[in-house]
Amino acid sequence: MFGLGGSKAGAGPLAHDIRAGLPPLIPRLWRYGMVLSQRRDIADDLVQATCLRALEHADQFVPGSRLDHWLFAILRSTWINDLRKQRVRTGQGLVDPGEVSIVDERTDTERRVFANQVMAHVNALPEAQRDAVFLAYVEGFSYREVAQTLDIPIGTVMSRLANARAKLASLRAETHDAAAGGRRR
Amino acid sequence: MTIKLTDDMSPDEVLVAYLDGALGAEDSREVEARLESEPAFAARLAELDFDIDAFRAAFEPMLDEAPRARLETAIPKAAPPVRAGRRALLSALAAAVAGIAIGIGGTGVFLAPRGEDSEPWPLRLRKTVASYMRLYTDQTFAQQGGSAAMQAQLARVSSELGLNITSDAIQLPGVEFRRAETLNYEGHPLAQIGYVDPTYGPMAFCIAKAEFGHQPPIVDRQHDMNMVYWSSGRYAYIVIGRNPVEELQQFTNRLRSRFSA
Repeated sequence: MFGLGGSKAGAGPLAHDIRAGLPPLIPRLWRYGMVLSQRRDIADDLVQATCLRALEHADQFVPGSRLDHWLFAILRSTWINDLRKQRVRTGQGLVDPGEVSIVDERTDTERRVFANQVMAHVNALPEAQRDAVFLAYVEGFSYREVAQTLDIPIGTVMSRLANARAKLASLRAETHDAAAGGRRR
Repeated sequence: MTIKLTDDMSPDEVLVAYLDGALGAEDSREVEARLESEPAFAARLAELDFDIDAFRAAFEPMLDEAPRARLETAIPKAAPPVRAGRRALLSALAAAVAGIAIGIGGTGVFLAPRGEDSEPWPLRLRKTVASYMRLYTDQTFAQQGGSAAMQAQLARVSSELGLNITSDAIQLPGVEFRRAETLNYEGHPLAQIGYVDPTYGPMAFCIAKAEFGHQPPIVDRQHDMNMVYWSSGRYAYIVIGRNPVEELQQFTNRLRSRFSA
């Protein structure tokens, strides 16, 4: 549904509309790039490549459908098909914990601790689960929208979300136990 | 759209679908009846549940971290090219009017378009390379001398970059190697290996001596020119032309396998 087929020049009114619609969506696209790649430089490149591809394939956008969802699907396919493979091939691994945690310094301590914990737990999920969790719970996609973006059946979305919630529950329990243990000492 | 409960769903899947409000009214009532009568089921629900609003809020600050201004300026202004021609000529004229200084020739030094000094070096480099590449014609890459002269050019570029660039390593299918020279960009030696594509005109493989670390190939578009860039250790590479992106990616794959330093 969101596939990129043969390339055509992205001229015409549709490309113009897409170009106009891109800037406000950049922060959300970048955040999705961060969740997938866990690296700022790659998130930058994912957003740039997504904008370029969206304009190149503007004729494939269905007018009246959601531009943000279409762009998310392009960003994700760019990650899966190009960047991730290359990153693995060049032996750089996929997780660079130093780049992962982004929490605003101005946030009060308690919220910051909680947010850091959420980030750490989400980053501990396998990529497929992290992807589904982010789209469903942060971006608020419906099951069907997650299925379309990830190009998987709805049943698979359900099992990924169920597995992710189970894993998050056990991580929360571990964190809680560790905190309680710390207080006892 | 709602999910229908089926026998092959695991208890966790049923509970998560319920928590996510994905079930229809009838199925929700069925789950609620089980929650009333099965304490273990209800306890599991409590484990799987979490505060979605707080969860979403944890990701909010990341939106402000996005380098928005920089990424917005990178959105291509014009539609991707179909073919060089009148438009390329018009862009070249526009660039000349905009006051971009271009040096062409063996020891050419080129200057970045004004007002872009604050951009990161790799982006500035790509923009600059694109801004002069688009002014090139087939004649810019006219051959100077025979194969011996071309070998000598490659040898000189190799020594200036400290990278062994052989004529075998830079051969690409369907395009003709014309000449190699070293330019200078902000103090960094920059090799330009020029080709002519019979359909799309001038094309170049550029190698800058600069440490960007490892960076997988990324497709970019600047000044109406398509390009793929990547870096590997002590060098940054750019393949640029009016060729379709797919073709430049194929060139990239070949060149990457030969230049891994």
